[in-house]
Amino acid sequence: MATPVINEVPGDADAALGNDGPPNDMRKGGTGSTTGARLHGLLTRVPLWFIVLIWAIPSLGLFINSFRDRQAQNQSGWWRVVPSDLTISNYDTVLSASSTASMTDSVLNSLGIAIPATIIPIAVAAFAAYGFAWIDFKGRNWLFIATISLLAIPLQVALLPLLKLYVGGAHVTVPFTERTLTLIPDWDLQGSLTAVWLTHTGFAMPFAIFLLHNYISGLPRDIFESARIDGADHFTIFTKLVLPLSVPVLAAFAIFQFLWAWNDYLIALTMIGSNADNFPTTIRVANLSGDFGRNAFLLPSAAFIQAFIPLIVFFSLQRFFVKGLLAGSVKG
Amino acid sequence: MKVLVTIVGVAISVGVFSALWVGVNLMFNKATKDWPLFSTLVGALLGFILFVVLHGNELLINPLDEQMDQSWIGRFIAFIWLPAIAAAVGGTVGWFLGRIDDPSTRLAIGIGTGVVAALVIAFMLRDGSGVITIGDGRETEPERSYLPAFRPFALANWTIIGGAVGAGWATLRKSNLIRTVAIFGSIGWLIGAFAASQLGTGPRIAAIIACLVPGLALGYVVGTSKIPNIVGAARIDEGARPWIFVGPAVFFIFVALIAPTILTLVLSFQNADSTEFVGLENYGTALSDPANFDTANWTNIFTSRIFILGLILFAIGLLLAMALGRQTGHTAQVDPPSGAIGISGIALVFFAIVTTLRGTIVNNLWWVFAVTLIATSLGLAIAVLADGVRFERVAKSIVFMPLAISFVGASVVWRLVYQSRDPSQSQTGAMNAAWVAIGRTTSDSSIGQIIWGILLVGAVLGFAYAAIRTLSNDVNMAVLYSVLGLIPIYLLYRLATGGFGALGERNGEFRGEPIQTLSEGPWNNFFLMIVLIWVQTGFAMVILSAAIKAVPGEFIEAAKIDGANDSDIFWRITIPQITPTIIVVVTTVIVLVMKVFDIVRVMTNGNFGTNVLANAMYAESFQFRNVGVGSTLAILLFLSVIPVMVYNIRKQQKEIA
Amino acid sequence: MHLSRWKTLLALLFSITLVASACAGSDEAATDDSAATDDSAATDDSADDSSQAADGGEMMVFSGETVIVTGPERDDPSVGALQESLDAFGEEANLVIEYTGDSAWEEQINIQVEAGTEPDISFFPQPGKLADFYRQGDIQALPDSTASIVRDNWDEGWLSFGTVDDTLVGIPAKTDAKSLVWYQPAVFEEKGYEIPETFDAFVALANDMIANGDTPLCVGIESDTATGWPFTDWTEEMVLRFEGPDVYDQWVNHEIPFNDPAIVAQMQAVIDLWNTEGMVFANGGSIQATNFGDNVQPLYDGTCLMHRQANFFASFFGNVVTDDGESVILGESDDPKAIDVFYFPANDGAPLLTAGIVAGAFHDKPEVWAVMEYLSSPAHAERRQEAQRRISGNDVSGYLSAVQGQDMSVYSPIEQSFIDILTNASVARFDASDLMPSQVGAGTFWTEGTSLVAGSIDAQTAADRIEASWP
Repeated sequence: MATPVINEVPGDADAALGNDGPPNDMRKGGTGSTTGARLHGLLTRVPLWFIVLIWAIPSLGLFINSFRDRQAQNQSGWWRVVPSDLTISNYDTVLSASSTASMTDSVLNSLGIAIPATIIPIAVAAFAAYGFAWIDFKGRNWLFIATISLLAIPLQVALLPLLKLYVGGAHVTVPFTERTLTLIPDWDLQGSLTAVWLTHTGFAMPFAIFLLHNYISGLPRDIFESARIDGADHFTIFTKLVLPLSVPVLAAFAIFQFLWAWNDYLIALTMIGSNADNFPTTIRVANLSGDFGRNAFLLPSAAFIQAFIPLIVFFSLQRFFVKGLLAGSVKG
Repeated sequence: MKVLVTIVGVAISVGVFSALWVGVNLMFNKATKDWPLFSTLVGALLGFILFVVLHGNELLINPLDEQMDQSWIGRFIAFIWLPAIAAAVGGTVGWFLGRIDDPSTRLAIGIGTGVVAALVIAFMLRDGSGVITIGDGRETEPERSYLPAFRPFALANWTIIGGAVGAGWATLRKSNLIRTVAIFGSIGWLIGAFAASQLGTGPRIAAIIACLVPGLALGYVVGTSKIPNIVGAARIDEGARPWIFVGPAVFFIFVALIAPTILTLVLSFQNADSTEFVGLENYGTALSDPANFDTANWTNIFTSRIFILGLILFAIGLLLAMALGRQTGHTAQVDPPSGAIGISGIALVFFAIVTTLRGTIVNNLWWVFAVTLIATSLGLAIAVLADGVRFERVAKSIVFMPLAISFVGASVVWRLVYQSRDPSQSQTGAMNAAWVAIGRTTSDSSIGQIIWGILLVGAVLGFAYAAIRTLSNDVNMAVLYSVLGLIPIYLLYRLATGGFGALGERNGEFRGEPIQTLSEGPWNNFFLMIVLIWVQTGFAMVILSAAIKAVPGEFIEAAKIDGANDSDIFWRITIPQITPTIIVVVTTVIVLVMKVFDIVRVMTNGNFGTNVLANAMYAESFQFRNVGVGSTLAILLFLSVIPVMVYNIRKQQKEIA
Repeated sequence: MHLSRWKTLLALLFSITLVASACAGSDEAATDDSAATDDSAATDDSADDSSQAADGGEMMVFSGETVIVTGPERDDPSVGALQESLDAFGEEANLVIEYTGDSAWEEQINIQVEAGTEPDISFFPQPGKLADFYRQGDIQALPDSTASIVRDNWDEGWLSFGTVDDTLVGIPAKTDAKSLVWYQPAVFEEKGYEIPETFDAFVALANDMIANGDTPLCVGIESDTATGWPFTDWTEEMVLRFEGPDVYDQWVNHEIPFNDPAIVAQMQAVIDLWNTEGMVFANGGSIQATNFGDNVQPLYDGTCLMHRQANFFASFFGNVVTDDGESVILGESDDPKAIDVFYFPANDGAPLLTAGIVAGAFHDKPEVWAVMEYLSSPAHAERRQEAQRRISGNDVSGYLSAVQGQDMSVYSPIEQSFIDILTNASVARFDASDLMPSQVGAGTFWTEGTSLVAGSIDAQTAADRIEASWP
């Protein structure tokens, strides 16, 4: 049986993204002599910071080029930047409301998609994860396996059927007859943000259940047993025990889902279609470069604006992140 | 105003959703504690749902008809009053059935309710005199009538089929035969009476008969039920509860994933515009298309340099393993240096194969292999290297950051890295600028060559020193340093024979040729993969880092006391401890990489031999409107991920067991 | 555990949800509100405007219906100018006309038609696609009244691109001239090069340039997801010049196979020309890696002397790093760095390769036909051109229309010369790749052409593969 690591070594989980805390000392110089230790430290730090530097360079280039005008960007690489080059005119253009390239509205649209698309799947998947983990019912394993294996479905296959659902509802034809029965009425959702986050909710399910189930099934069995003996029903156990204990994994999934919904391009494009008022940031950025890429110089500043909010969300929630992911994967 | 309306809209949908869920839960809590209340609620709910469905499908004379000019609140009230009354009636019936246990009274209540409900429905069924106009702007539909004209044969057939299914069900589930047959027979009767007969031409009396029969039967079923004892009530609770928890997710999954997948499977057996079935033709097309799978140049594999280098590395690894094995008495000891060298040898051989065989499917394999291997091992390396280093948090955050950037954004970012310019121009892409600078300093400038020479000789000496220092107590590290030391030695050789980096000259002047990052195959594939590696390494790093930190310190202490060195600890304690985590990371990355789409779509659109399955599928289905082949590619993609999923699930099952 | 913190977080997230989604506003009612405000404004003004705008004919005034228009043009100056022109008409006719441009228009229009969410009107850069939709019954044929207005406004040759099976279904909303060569007159003058009058003279001139140590041509065929199309343009120019319009039409209509020797020969001719030692400069290091728009800089610098590209190439000159920091001067000028165009010559006559955008209507509604009539009118061309020049701040707006009866003063001199070339052509043919089925015209012709340019396959193989992909 899997032992949940979370509750036993919270300190370690906290440190996974680095808290400058004391490391497990086994990875410190083992050679004993001072020279050896120094050499060892050098051989650890040089490759590390080299990799980190390489990782940082592309984003740094984006950031610097976003402050250079069209001609400067075309003339020389961003590392040749001189202070007199710097301008905020690109940001002016992409943020000004009058321009068709305006990002301002689309930031709000993206929030309007990403926040419901984060909260609702968390709720639905938490119910299901608890159901799969702690309620015994016939066909549980079978259903769970089916759910997880749907992770493999490329989401492109579902775009057109879902769009049709939003446009015309769902109807079933009774076999051998011409009669159709409306299961889901036509809610006329195409072009709305609702259509986008509903779609995200559906696509998020397998991964959400997978992640949450890993965590929730790892919670100590004793808690549940004693609660059941005390006469608590599933609903009480779920709301009073499981939800509070699952905060880390809920937050971890929230980060994933928020980033995914915020950064999605294809679903939004398909579901919003020709309602330009509701375009999220990704579509704006993709359209910004223009016919044949003639306005490519605006892309760095737009891409930076596009990435700004997910970065804030990520850095503010990251402390939960590791804890939540750990339980599924680390078995003590 | 807009703000307010939307706040209300979101609040209502979230509120209704949670209220429903909590309400149903609370309702089933009552099953064991307060049966009459539970019974009342169930009755109300059933009444409500029945009339909402009838109403929603416009089967009943529609109170909306006269109300269409009203505001949405008015229309809502017009819609809701009938279901609301039905709920009240149902609740009352439920309340009685929850308290009265005299069998004959119960039967009377049950049959009475069934008859009344049947008559109400039968008399309210639309007979074609009503005009359907809904809401604003929607067109008037032709008048419809739902009064059936029976086809006795069909009616009898469906009823018998329903009854037979019920009998079978009762036998299998060992439930009450008569009640089950009555339920299923009623369903059969309803289908036979309404779906399988001519609607709109019948008399009202037909509708009454059509409704009355199932009304009586279901009334009988309800009436013959007993108030369950506490065990029975608990069983009802236990039967329903899982579906309350799992149901919403199953609904979303069915609508968003399962139904479309079934549809796609059907489409994959049909022609381009889905008008006729073509059997397996699309699969034949997809698999035989050289664009998907091109083996034309397979003989070139054996002459490729990477292939030979891979074989040599593999041989070295094997020899090393056998040498180490002699010490320990095994035939071959697969251990860090030998294992790592052997694996890189195999990796290179694989690279040689995927760079020579071409096509979309080969590309997908290459993506899965390269991105998974590199992202996971780099993530592991960073996790180990950064552990406990000062500014660990900064380093890890920088590596993790790309995960927050959209693929659209990432393609913008990497365009700034990959751009190339004509050799005569100043390079604007960071990578080619560095490449050209290296080429210039190693081939065209004597000062540059001297500096490079000093640096490389220094690196060789450094690795040699490190290898000697560690030889005494850590042979593995020594071997690693020696192998790494070969790289500066090779570069020194290149420096002496004309330099490295971007080379080339025209009219005696240096003219370093940049790399055509995205258009020069087959390596352009690899440059696309780097983008995904850039994004995914942070994910692998965070999870692996957490796993490493969770390795119990006592193990390590104990090993140290036994005289284990760093690499022993890493390979013999850390790695085995975190293997489950590595597997989770690997499977997650594989599933993600198999479906890679955005990067390829945005950066090359699959041109220059960089196509992948998801992009090919998207282009076939939506750009070229060849839905058959597009669906086939989607199914192939799905099938190819299945083995990974099966492995992962089996592992999970074992853990649960 | 961090229960209280979690609660705070949850509350915070929830309130952000509400506020954000509220601000974002997906709500239909809100859209209706704004539409209503527009309407009232429109009704106020419509009396003044309709008097000046209606060209003789009576103006239909509607009651605020919405007409949705989509197309692939997706950024300024095009979108701003187009929307401005549509708004002007919307005010006159009391319609709300919304244009949405989208980089993935080509796939989206297929999805929308499939799902039944198609717009009222869409702009097709590929008449072949318009024809497909018409034959499937998705695009509506122009009613006679509309057709007759369109026929009054346009020359028969242009209408042929919107004609399917002898029915007029599309109207030209924008016309481009492709057979243009961009060059720097001052350099030609200084070095004594003459503008060639025939194709042979063009090749001879190029060879002279090579002999003098100059690079004659800039070529780049990279264009993101449409990489390869400039190669198809060159091939089409060659087919039109050396095989004649009849073979061109047979080729487009697949009456001769794509791998017909005549076509393979012309593909090879393009490659041979480009592969001539010293002929081509490609700013990105190789032809297939160079974005065609990136060639503005070498053309300005004199690194190469000529660039064959359509009139919309002009919009890339804003990227040029000029000596004086001012924008590049286009057209006839005393400025030594000014850029001008000449007609890409042929040995016989003056065949012209054209392209453009054809608008088609998906819905048969009076307000849709009113917008279609407007799109075909000189008033639309004038308004859009005026707005587009203003927004782009350039001499060349990137927009061009060959509609009859427009006020030519809205065009700059160089644009007028484009229109002269458009209207004076002896034979005009629409871009073949845009007329072919999209598997070919927006698929293999581009991709196999790119492989051919990259040298990984030969012309025969490329043509064979393209032929194999013809549906």
